[in-house]
Amino acid sequence: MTERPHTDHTRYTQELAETLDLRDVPADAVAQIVREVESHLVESGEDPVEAFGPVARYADQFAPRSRERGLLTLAVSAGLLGFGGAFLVISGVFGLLDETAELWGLPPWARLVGGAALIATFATMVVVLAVGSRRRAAAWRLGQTGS
Amino acid sequence: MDTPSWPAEWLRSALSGAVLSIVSEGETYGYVIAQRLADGGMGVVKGGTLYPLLARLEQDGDVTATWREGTSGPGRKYYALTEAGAARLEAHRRDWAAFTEASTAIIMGTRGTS
Repeated sequence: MTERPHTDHTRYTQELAETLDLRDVPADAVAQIVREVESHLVESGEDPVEAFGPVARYADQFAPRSRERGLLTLAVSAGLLGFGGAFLVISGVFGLLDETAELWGLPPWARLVGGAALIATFATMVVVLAVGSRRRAAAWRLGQTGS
Repeated sequence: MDTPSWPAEWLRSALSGAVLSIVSEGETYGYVIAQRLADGGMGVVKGGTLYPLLARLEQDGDVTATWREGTSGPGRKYYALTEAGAARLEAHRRDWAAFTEASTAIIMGTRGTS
């Protein structure tokens, strides 16, 4: 890309890019939205907040905030499931090797099965997240990227 | 020149038709569209309103967009009307004319006896 002479806009556009990215807007669409803001600011010489409003509110126009929170919740619960599953499986393996290694009075095989089930759920959630993200990306048809 | 400031809800209802109409006159980009709206007496339409509307029109397939590089800076995103957009504009113009004629008659108190 060519140089950007208006460095005072960069903070606004960077923050906008980060916010849209957090809200799961595809990178290509983020680049276009941000570039159009830059283009307008360079030409009009307007103040970013004056012309486009606060970053969060401008981002609302393209991706509602709820998506950000929903995605975060999903990612955190997927992480907890994966971690918990791995913990149970490891505990089960130790239980099989050494009978004194107990956990919540559960027999080792129950820990293994429970852990495997949690990991399977975790894997499913990761797939759902990935497919959902790709589907949303496909729904974003913000034209050609041009140059 | 005095810049009029119309109630936001008036502008909101008239804006998409006005933007489609401006784009129908030839490929153009956001900043120029905003200026044309202001020069035409619709008041200042901020970037925060205009660009999301253009993005919706693009997603709906009424306009297409192409980036063109300038000599420096981020370049410009040019919008052009699609066939679907032209058809929508034509329908919109008909409906808008009927709606404004009816509402104007009522507002002005010139409505004939029922």
